[in-house]
Amino acid sequence: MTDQTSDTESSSEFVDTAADDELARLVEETVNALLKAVRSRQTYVAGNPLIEKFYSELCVKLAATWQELPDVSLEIDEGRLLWRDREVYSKPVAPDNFAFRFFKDGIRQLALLPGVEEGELAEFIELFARSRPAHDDDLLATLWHRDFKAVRIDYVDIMEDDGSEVPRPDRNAGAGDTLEDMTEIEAVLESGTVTEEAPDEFSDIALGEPDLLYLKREMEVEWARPIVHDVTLALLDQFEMRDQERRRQVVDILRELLPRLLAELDFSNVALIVNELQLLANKTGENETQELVTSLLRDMSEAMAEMVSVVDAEGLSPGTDELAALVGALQAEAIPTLVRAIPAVPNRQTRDRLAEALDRLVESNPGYVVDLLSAEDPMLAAEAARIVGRIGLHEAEPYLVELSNRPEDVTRQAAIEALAILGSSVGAEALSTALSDPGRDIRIAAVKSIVAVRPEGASALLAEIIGGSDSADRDQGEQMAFMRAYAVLAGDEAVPLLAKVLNGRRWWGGRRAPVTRACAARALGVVGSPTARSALEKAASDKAAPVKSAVRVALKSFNNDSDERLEAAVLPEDDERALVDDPLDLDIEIEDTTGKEGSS
Amino acid sequence: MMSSQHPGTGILSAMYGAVRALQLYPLENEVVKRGLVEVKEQADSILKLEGGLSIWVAGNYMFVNDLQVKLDLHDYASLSAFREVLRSHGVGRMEASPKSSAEDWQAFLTLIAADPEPGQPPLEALQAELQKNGVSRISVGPPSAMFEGSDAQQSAEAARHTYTRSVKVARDMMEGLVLGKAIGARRAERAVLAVVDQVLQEPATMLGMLTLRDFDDHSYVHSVNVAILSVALGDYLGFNREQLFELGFAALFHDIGKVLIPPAVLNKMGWLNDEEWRLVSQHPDFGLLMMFSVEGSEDLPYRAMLAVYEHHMKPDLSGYPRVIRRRRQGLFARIIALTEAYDAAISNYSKQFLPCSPDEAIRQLREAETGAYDAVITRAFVNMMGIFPVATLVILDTGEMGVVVAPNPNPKSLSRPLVRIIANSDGERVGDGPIRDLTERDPETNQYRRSIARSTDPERYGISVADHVA
Repeated sequence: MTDQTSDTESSSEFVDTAADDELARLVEETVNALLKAVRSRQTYVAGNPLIEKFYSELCVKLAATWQELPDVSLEIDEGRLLWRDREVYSKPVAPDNFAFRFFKDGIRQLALLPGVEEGELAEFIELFARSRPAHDDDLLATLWHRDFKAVRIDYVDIMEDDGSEVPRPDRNAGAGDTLEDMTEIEAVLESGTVTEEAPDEFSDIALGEPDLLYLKREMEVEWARPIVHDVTLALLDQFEMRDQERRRQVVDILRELLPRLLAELDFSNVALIVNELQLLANKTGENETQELVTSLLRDMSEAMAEMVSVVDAEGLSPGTDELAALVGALQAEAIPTLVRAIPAVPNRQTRDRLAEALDRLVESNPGYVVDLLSAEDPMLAAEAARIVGRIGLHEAEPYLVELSNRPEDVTRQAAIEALAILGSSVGAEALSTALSDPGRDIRIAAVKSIVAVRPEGASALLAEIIGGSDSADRDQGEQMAFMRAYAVLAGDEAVPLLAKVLNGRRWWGGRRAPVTRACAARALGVVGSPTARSALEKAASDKAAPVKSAVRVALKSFNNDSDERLEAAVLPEDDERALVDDPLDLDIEIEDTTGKEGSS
Repeated sequence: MMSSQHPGTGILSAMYGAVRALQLYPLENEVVKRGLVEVKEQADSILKLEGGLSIWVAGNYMFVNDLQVKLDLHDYASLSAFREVLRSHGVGRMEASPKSSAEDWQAFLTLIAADPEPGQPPLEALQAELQKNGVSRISVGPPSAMFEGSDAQQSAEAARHTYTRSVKVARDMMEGLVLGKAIGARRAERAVLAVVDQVLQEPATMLGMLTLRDFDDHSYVHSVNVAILSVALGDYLGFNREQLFELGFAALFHDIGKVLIPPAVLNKMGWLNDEEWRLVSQHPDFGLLMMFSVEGSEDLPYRAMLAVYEHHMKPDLSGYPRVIRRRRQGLFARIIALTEAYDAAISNYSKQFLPCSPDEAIRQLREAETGAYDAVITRAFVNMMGIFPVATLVILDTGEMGVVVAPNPNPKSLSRPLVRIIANSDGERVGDGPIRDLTERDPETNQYRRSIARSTDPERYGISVADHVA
C-alpha cells in the first residue's frame, strides 16, 4: 500500500507533548459533533432545523479546537478513528460505520483544517451523507474530485494492490563498474568545453504574452466546448463515411444515446441526429441504410413524443426547428403516446404540430390507431375513437361498435360520436342501442348521430322513446334533442305524436310537463307542415308560458323555408347547451331542469 | 479557468511584481515604490486576518498559510516565475511576523530580486544577508521535507507503484475489451487520479517513469506514458485538478481503438500496405465507438471520446479521421497528439522507427512542420520538458555521465537542467551520484562548471535511467 498524497500533515509535529488527554477529549468531542451533523443530514430533509443545530454545534467545537490545535488530523482504521494513536471513534465494523466508510475506499487519513467551516464543511457533510455504500459509491473519488482545500485526505491504492511486487529502483546499479564503451566520453573530452549558448538560442520556444493569451483563450474555448454536439457530429461523420457495418454500430450507439439526450432535454442534438440521419439515408438511396434509420426512429419515436409532450407541460418546449425535426422524425410507434399526450399539451404550437404529426402517422399507419380502440385505458381508447372519426377510418367501425359497449361513459360517447361521423350502416345498430344508454351525454350523442346516419327504423325507435313513459325523466336538453331528431327524420309523420305530446291529455286529464310540451312545439316547427301548423295553432293560447312561447317561435319559423328550418334543427356539434338555449324566455334553468311530468 | 482568485494569489502577485520592478528600476522609482506598498498592504491584510504569513514552495505547488494556491494560466507566468525566484535562492518557505515593517519587506525583496551569488549555498547567503540588513521579522528556510519528499527512495517507489498499477489497469481494460467486456469507469478513474496526484506531487519522478523498460506491453505502457505527459503538460498550462483528471482519462484511452486491430498489423516490422494502413488509421474511429461502453459512471466521457477521436487530426482538421462536419479540434486532442508523438519517438515499441533520445524528440518537435501540432502548445511542452528532458542520459563536457532529473528551475536556462551524476570522467559508475545544477559557474572564470556535450543512448551502456531520476 502506498501513500498517494502527502499534503495532509499530522499535527503531531506542532505539539511536543506525546499524550495529551485533554486534547484527545476535545478531538473526540469534535468527531462526535461531526457524526451528529452527518447523521442529521442523513436523517432529515434539507431545511430541517435540527440539521442547522448540529452543524452549529460542530462549528462551535471546531472553533474551540482551533484554539488548541492547528488541525484535526485523523488516522483511519477499519472501524476506528485515531488521533495521535488515541482512539477517538470506535464502532464495530459495519457498512454504516463512519470510519469504515472511508476505510473501505482506501482513505487512510482525514484532516480538517481551520477555515473548513467557511463553506467546505457543509459540502463535505453533504457529500458524505449522499454517498451510498450500498450502491458502491466511491467516497475517495467523490472527495478527490471535489478537491477541498480545508478537508484533506490521504489514501492508498486498494483496488490495484494485488500483493504483487512492484520493481524497486536500483540506485546503486553498476556502482564501481567502469563503462565498457568510452568512445563517446573520450570524444567529448577531446572536443573540449562546450560553447555557451547564444542568448537567443531558444527564442523560438519562448512563451510570450500573446502565447499565454492564446493558451488562456484556448482553455476557455475548451471548457465551453459543446462536447455532446461535437460527439454527435463525429458519430454522424462516421455514419456517413463508413460502411454498413459502421452504420449499424453508430445506430446501436444512438439507440442508447438518444434516450439519454432526451432525458437531458437536449432536443437540439436529438433534432440534429434525426434530421441528419434521414437526410443521409435518403442520400445513400440504399434500402438497408434507410431501414436502419427507420428502425432507429421507430425505436425512438415513443420516447421522443413522450418527452416533447411532457416537457411542454413544464414550459420547456423545444425550439421551432427542433420541434419540426423531432415531429418530422416520428414514426408510427409514436401514435399511442401522441394520442394519449396531445390533449394534455398546453402549448398550442406544440399541440398543433403534434396533432399534425399524428394525423400524418395515422393516415399511413391506421392499424396503430385501430389497435388503440381496444386499449385498456379508457381515455386512450376514447381519443383513438375521436381520431378514427376525424380521419374517417371506416375499417375501424367494428371496433367502435365494440367500444360503444364498454362500461366507461367516455369510451361509449367517443365511439358513438365517431360512428356518427363515419355514418355507415355498420354502426347503426350500435347507435340505436345507444339511444337507451344509461349515460345522458351518450344518448344525446347517439341522437345527434341518428340524424346524421338516418338508419332504418330510427324514427320508429325515436317515436317509441318520445312516447314512452320514461321520456319525461329526461332533461329538457335531451328531450329537445330527441324530438327535433324525430322531426327531422320522420317529417310530417312525426306530427301525430308530437301533436299528442303538445296538446294531448292523459287518461286522468292532465297534460305533459310544460317543458316537454314546449319541446314538442319546437319540433313541430321543424316539421313545418300544415298539419304541424294546425297542431301548433291549437296550443297558441296555452296557459303555460313556456308552451305558449315555444309555439310562438315555432309558428314564426313557418316563415322560413324548409331548408332553414332543417338547418336550425341540426344539432350543434359540441355544445348541447345550444339545444336548450332559451330563445323563448322559458326561464328554464338548464342544469337543473328535469322536465319532470306534472299536471296543469 | 479558475474563476475566483485565491486569497494567497494577491500577496504572491504583489511580491513578484515588486521583485520584477526591483530588477528593472532603482529603489526610488515610482513603480518600485508602488510595488512595495502593494506588498505591504497585501501582507498586512493577511497578517491582520490570520495572525501570520507563511509561504511554502512545494513541487509545483505554492501554499499561503497552509492553503494551496493553484496556478492557473492567468497567473502562471508571474507566479511560477516568482516560485523560481524563491527556488533560485534555495527558499522553500518564508515567514513574516505581524510586526514586519515596510523596511523589512523592502530589504527582503531587494535581496531576492538579485541573482544569488555563485559559489555559495544560496539559502545560507540569503539568510546571512537578511541578518546583515537587520531583517528579523521575515525569515526564510529550506524546502520542507514534508513537501519536497526528502525520502527520494520512497518517492521513486511511489511513482513506480502508480505507474505499474496504471499499466496494469490499462492492460486489463484493453484486454477485457477484446473479450467484449465493458470498460469499468471506477478502476480507470482510480488509476487516473493516482497519476494526477503523482504528477502534481513529483512531476520529474513521474516523467522519469517514461523510460522504464520493465514491461512488454508496449501499447499499455504507451497509454500510461501519454497520460503522464498530458497531465504534466496540462498542469503546466494551468489546468485545475479536475481538468487534469479529464485529460488524464482521455489520454489513458487515446489508443483504445487499437485493440480491434490485429497484432500482426500493429506489430508489423516495416511499412504498412494500403489495407493495413486503412485499418490502423481507423483506430480513432474504433476508439470513439468503444468509449461508449464505459460503465459505472453517471456521465458519458464525452470529452475523452473527442480526444480519442481527434488525436490524429491536425489543428487545421487534416489528418485522420476525415472531418465532414467541421468543428475545432479540441485542446485535449492537441495535447495528446503532441505527447503521443513525443512518447512514440523516445520509445522502442514503434516498428517503423528507431527510438531517439528525449532531447532529439524535443528537437524534432521544435522543427516539426508548421501545422502538424499546435505551435503554442508545442512551445509550452518544450518549455515544460526543457531542451534535455527528464531521464535524458547525457555526457557532460567534464566527461561525466549523468541523468537529467529536473528542468532547471530558472525558465531561462532551458538547456541547463539538473543532472544526477552516475559515472565520473573516468567512466566509473557511481550509482546515484550528486545532483548538479548546470547553471552553476566557476566563480573565478565565470564559466559554467558543466555543460551538456551530448545526449546518449542508455541501452548502449546498459543503464536504466529511471532508477536514477528520483
